[in-house]
Amino acid sequence: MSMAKVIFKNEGGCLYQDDRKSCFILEYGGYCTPLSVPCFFCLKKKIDEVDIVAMIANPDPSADIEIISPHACDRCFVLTVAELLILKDLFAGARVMLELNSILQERVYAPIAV
Amino acid sequence: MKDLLRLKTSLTEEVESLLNEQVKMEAKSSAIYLAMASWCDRHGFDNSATFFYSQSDEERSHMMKIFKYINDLGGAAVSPEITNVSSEFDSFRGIFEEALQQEISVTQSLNRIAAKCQKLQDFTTFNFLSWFLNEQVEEEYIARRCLELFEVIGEEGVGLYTIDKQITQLKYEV
Repeated sequence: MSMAKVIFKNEGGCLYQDDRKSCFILEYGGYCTPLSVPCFFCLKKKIDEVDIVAMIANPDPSADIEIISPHACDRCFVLTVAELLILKDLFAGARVMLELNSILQERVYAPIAV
Repeated sequence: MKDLLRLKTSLTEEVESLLNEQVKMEAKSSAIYLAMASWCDRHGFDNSATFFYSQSDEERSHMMKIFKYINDLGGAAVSPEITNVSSEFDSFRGIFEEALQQEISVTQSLNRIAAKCQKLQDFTTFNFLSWFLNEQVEEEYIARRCLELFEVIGEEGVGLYTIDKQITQLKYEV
């Protein structure tokens, strides 16, 4: 973890990038979960697809939690609405930072003649 | 910090998702044409059945072309789930009207993706899509000509028989 760089952090957790292993690390709920690049997007997609409004509107107790199990990941996430909102924010923030990193790589580290 | 996104794929998340949607659309077109071929076969329109079998194969080849492109660029092509393909049609003419409508929808969808690629400056995908846009000119031309046969020949008497005979003769010449 000492080699990993913070991509984005919020009150609930943190996402790191490990350049040595070319993967991301999700620190959340007291655990660290390594995520490959496809797994990162798979988890982000699954979290984004959850209809939080429908969860809140549904009076059934089983609607209060969402179970997310991304492919190629050894962790299963059992999330409440509040936890979903935290993870949603965490992944959205990390996605923006990764995009910013791509732009920096393109514009600063490998500039092209205009 | 390594650019893990770019190292994994040259496609943006947005373009990859749009291309996967197009894969699904081409697959659905292929399934619809197959259903049309079956209807024509059952109702004695042999030539039209052959025409639609070939159209179905062509749509599937289009799907595979996009599917392979996504994977070639490091993206994740998703095998589409196709549902709600009707196997019944109102009439022989209705089939061709639906076929034209399907082609128009495909062209519009490709145009939307091409516009998005330009906006995102993804000229590789834009260039890849230009083949499909050219192909759609032919697809729409043939679909329109098929439908026009109903006006030119008429459906009375041996009209439907003659239309069925003429369907496979239609060709697009540049």
